[in-house]
Formats: sequence, C-alpha cells, structure tokens
Amino acid sequence: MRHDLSTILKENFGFDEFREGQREVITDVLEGKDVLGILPTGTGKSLCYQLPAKVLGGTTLVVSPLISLMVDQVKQLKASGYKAVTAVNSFMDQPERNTVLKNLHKYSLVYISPEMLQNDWLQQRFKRMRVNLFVIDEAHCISQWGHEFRTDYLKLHQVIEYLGHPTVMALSATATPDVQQDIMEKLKIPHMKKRIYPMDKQNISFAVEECNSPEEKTDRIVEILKKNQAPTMIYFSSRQWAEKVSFELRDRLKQRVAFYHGGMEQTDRMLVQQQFMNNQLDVICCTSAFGMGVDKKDIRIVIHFHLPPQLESFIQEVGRAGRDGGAAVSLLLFTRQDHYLPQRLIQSELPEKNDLQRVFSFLKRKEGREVPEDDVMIEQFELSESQWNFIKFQLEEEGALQEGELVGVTPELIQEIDRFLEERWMYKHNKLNEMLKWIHVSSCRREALYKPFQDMVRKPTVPCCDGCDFRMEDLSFQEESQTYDTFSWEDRLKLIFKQGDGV
Amino acid sequence: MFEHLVLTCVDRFRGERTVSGIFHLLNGKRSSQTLQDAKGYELDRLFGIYPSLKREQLESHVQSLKDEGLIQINEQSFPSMTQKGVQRLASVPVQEMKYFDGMVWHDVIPTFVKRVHLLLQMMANSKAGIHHYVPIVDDFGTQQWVRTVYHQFQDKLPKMVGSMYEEIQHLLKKHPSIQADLFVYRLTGGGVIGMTMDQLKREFELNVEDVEVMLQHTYYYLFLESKKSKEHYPVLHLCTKGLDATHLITRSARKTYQYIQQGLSMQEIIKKRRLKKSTIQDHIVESALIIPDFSITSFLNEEDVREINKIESQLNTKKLKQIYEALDGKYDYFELRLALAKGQHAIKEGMTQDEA
Repeated sequence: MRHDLSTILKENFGFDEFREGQREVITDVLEGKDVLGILPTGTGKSLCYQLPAKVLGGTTLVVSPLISLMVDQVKQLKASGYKAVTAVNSFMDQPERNTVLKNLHKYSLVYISPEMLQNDWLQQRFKRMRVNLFVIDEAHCISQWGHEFRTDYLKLHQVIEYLGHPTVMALSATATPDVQQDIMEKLKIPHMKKRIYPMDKQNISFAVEECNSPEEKTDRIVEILKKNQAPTMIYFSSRQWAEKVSFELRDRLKQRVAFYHGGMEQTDRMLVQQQFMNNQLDVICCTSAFGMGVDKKDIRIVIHFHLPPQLESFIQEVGRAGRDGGAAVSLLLFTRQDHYLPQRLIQSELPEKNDLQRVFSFLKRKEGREVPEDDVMIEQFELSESQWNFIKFQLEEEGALQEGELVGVTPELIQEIDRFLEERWMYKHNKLNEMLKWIHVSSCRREALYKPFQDMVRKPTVPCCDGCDFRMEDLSFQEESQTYDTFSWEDRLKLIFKQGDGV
Repeated sequence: MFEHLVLTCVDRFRGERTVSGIFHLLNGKRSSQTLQDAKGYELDRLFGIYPSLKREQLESHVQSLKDEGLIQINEQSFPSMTQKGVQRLASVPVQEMKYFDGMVWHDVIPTFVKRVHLLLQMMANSKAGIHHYVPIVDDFGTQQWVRTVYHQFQDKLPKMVGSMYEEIQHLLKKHPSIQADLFVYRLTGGGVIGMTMDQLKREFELNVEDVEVMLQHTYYYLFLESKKSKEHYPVLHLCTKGLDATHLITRSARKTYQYIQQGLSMQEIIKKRRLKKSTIQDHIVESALIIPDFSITSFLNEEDVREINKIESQLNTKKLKQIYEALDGKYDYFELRLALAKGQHAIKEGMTQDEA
C-alpha cells in the first residue's frame, strides 16, 4: 500500500515538508518493519508515530518513561487539534480514569508508563484491541549502558510478544552505538531497521568558561545578557539555585526573568511555560524538569550554570536552542568545585558497598519472612529512597524477593548484586569523567562532544566553538522584545477580551 | 491583609485559643472543635477561606505580629491583642474583606474559580481567533463542564464573550483596585498568559499570603454577587450553577443525628455504632451547632440551657473550664458545650430579628 505522505502531513499536521529522518522512519513502519530511530532532539520525533497512528487506524501504544512528559505531550497534541489521544497514568482522578479506561478503544494514541503496562487487566484489554504500532519512546532507558536506565523497560519484550508482536518503533535522541545494540538485544528483535541520524547541531556555537565562584557566574551571565537580548534558558542542578539566581537576574537586568522547577505548583508551572512560549518572558532559570514538553523554536542562548552528570543530558538540553535553524549559542560555566555536585548526586542514587553488606546481613536473618516496609528500611539503614529502591529491585530481579517475602538470600546472589552495583558506580563515574574531560578540551569542542555518538561531525553553519573560531564577546543578539508596560487592570482585561480601543 | 485576618482571629478568640485554633479555622478543618470555635467566636465567615495555608506561614506571621508588639503570647501559647494591635485592627477598612462567607461557601468556591478561569480562557480565545491552546485548568470535571457550556450555547457565544467582559469589568470597578489588579493579572486568555503567584507577589510588592487572601476575597465577591443576580451577571451566574451552600456536617455526625431523631438514647447509639461516648457527644454538639431546629431536650432542658448561657455572658468567656467552675460542676463538659452551641442560635436569631 502506498500513501501520499506529504498530503497526509499537510492535511493533518499543517507542515509542508518532513524534517530529516521522519519520512524514512514512517515509511518503514507503514511497511510493517520494526525500526530503531535515533533522531536528535528538536526534529519532531513524535510525528514519527503520530502520523502512522492516523494512517494505520486501530491503536498506537506509546511507552514513555516520565508521566509529566506524557501529560505535556497529550496536552499539546490536544491543543493542536489531535483529540483521540490520552495518557493512562496514576495521577488521573477517579472519574477521569474511569472515562478513559471505558473508552480506551476509541483513542488512536495511548501513552502509557512502563509500570502501568505491567498491569494484567490493561494488557488483556490491549490484547483485545487492535494495537497496530508499539512505540518505545526514550528507548535508551532499556539499556543499562544508557544514561537513564529504567528497570521496567526490560520487561517490554514480554508485552510485545503477548500482544502478538505489533510493529515496533524504538526512538531515542541520544544513543551511542553500544546502546543501540543493547536496545535491540533487550527487545529481542535483532533485525530492526536502523535509522540513525547525526545529532550534531550545525547552528549552535559552543563555549565553556571557568569561574572562581557562583557569584562570578552570575556576574558573567548579567554581563552577557546586558549585551544580548533573546530567548534564553539557564540550566541549574538544583531548585534553590534556579530560584536564587532568577531573583538576582530580575533585579540586575531589564529582561523578564522567571524560574521553573518540578517543585512548583502545577498551574504556575504551566503559566511559566506558556509565558515563555508566548514571549512574555525572556529568560528562564530552570532545572532539567523544564523543556521536555516545550517546543519553543526561537531559543537563542542556553547557559549551563552547573555541570550535567553526563554528555547525553548536556546534548539534549543544548538541543533546545535554535530549533528554527537560526544561529544559537551554548555556554557552560564551571568552577573547580563543581564536579562534586554531580558526584553527590550519584552518591545519593546508588547505595555504597558497606550499605549493601549491612542490609544483606539483616535480611539474611529475615529469610522466609516479610521484608519491613520501605520507610522502615530507609530509616534503619539511613538510605535514600533511590538507594533502597535499587537494592529492592535487585532482590526482585534475582528472585530473592517474591511478593514481599525473602527466599534464598545466598552468598552468590549477594556477590552478583555487588558486582552489578560496582558496574553502575563505574558507569556513572565514567560518564561524569567524560563530561569533566569535555570541559577541559582545548581543541575543537564540537568534535569532542559529538564524536562518541556519530562517525562524522558536520561543519557548522555558525562560528564553531571556543576551541576554534568562536568568542562569547562576538555574540550579539538584539531581538526586539515586547515592551513591558504596566497596564491598569482595566487595560489588561480589555486586552484579554479584545475590547475597545487600539485592539 | 493577611495580617488583618490573623489579628481579627486573635481578637475574637480573646486569648482563649492557640495559634493552632486559628490555623484550623482558616484551613477549614472539619472537627467539632473548629466548627464550634467558628460559631462561638463569630468567625464562621473566615472558616476555610485559605485552604492552602501552611502552618509555617501562619506561624511566621504570628511571630512578626508579636515582634511588632501587636499581639502578645502567654506561656500556654495563647495569643491575645495588645493596645497597639487593637488600634491597628480598627484602622483597616472592613470593606476589604467583607465578602468572605467561608462556613457556607468554602466548599464550592474552588469549583467556581476553576470554571471562571477556563470559561474565560475559552471565550477570550474564541474572540481572538485562537483555536488551539493548552487549557489553563487541568481538572477533568471543569473541562467537561466548559465543554458542555460550549455545546449548549454555541450560537450565543459571541454575545456571551461581551457579557462576561462587562460583568467582570462592572463588578471589579466597585471592588478595591489592588484586588482587581491581582484578579485580572492572574487571568489567561486572548493571547495573554496570566501571572504566577510568585510574579504577582513581586509585581505588586505584597507577600504571598496577601496575594492569596485578596484573590480569595475577590472570588467570594464575584461568586456571591453573581449568584444573587442572574439578570445582571448571566455568564458568571452560569458558573455558580449547581454550587450550593454546604451543610457542614460530617457524614458520621449526620448518622448520629438521624438516630437521635429516631428516638434512640445516647447509650443505644454508642452500642449500635461502636463508637466512643466522646465521639457521639461531638456529633451531638456538631448537630446542635449546624441544625437550628435540632431539639436537645432529651439531654438538657431549656432552663439549664438558659442558666449556662447566662453564666457564659456574665463571665464573658468561652472557656469551658471557667464556666464549669463557676457552676460548681453542676453540669459536665458535654452539657456545657451543648448548651453553648444551642445558645449560638438564640443569639443569631435575635440578631436577625433586630435587623428585620
């Protein structure tokens, strides 16, 4: 069956042409081929399954790791007129959930978290429906060599099998060749059609600068933004810092600044996103929670106030700049103390070796009985939530924890978990080291950044990097910004309702 | 504004309730203690008007009121007014918070607000020709409600947009202008995105509690005015449809009430419901507070009620211990609470008769 894809694209999504890779991936799945697509951020990954969902009919299942990301995507799709879409998630209230589940077969696109997908009732329900396409978004989560390893992703191949093997599309923005191989192995589909596209951004210039203190970083940002006026994102590794610096910038700059992080109230989060999209804000100080659902095309400057824990996150975050193809710039600021921050993050995620030993000798005595509640374990052994989750999951994986009861905590098992833990530590440290190495590169930064992910790095269309021919001082964005007049409430109300004079 | 609210509570509580009492009142805690406080100290209008208030927020304001010398706190941590506090309280125009009516409406105000925000976005966007947008209110029920309105009134929509503008404009003109500012700057629609709480606070140089209280007050104002007059405010009135006064009685208390109406004794109810005596007593007091014609003669005769209330007004206190002692332990605490609860209605009814 041949489809006139361009017409479908125009009629349903309003675009005149496909972006790089979209047509190829779409054609593959329409021909019933399983496909692994590595498409860089900002190239419209979601269109790759939205369009086939329309053409194929029936249901397209999209497995997505983050609820907030799913919910954002659904909102945007609905806003753009694509109504037959839903996200099955644990945050729905009862009436909404009932309505959605009752009408599940009426949706053409169903987003779901990997945990939810383990639900037997839902699986049976999906089996009775016509699932024509099975999409795995952020597919690097399936690989323990991926930077966001998610254990629930490992069970996906069972579901695919159970559903009678619908066409599978695995998508990711950042996956090294190792990870690509691992994805196919873990899905147990060795012959996926590979569609790999270069992720280097030809329209972004790179710079890294060392500062002596956080205050100096802020001064530097003020200096830059006084000279440049354009949509800007500043990434922080903590909520407190994002807020703190946003307040300072607001006082010291004429631009409109706001902060954004996961700890904000839902409505306020949405308002900030929308204001930024709507050019009511110039600068956003945010954590990595921002951006996933935001598709603003004209972001010109991305600044990292802190080091991301690995190159993959950095590449994704930088990739939010210049989606319209226009010139953009990435600046990373660091101090000598900064690498402690991600290190501490890793420490809080993974248990230490002697934590493991203490927990295991405790659990051995509990054999045949129930494991105490999570809170109890966390408190008794002074673990973080994710440290305990790590241990618990390993026990489950190795079959030593069945329905809350402990069976066969053998020395071999402990050794096995030990070994795995060591691997994770090593892995995370290596990732951090790559990041640290990159900030100290003295040759071409672009080359060093993208080389691990692709064979050849293309020539940029803008000045390259501070290792080549780019200087921050040369930067000059002077975009017109809307005036920020303080209206009376009456004027503002008129503006909202488009009433009366001047509108 | 928030300070004024806290001072009002301290003033009315007359040094007889702790900061927790104030917190539960503003938060709208449904316990018979809080309900009785609200009625007894005539603070029922402020009941539940600030549901998102955190204890730390209140405590830090109490602290600064104390530092300013407006209130004092005794060693049992009961706050009371100082002379300076009384003066400060008198200096604020009552008009700025006169529309609060929490005991009756606090349950339905959030729904009203969500409807107004989403309906306004839908209408303003349709006027501006914006057809694709992210709804400002996430709540599923509200989205369904707006959808229904949209389908029901599709052909009248342009007229309704104009009306909604006029209604809001007209009502806000008669309202304190800072409160009007906050309300309008929070709105999203017609290509304008509303401000976050943090932005409002900075833009208008207020603290976040003031922003919240002023917004809430405006919501009550718009709600009450439009609920009253469908004729003048048809679109806002639509947003109040089906939102009725709350009968603030817990389900459990209602059950006890029903048993009493059926003629069961307290002992029988205790046995039947397998609840503690004190719980059943709470229910009875709660019923007496909320249901004006609830007869309590099986527990206390009219003369007793009168005697207790007389002592209460002589001593000029709501403190049960003092009343208990003044009556030499003639009545137990349950009887005292019940009599006082009943007494509330007598006062209220007297008042309305006078006003009429």
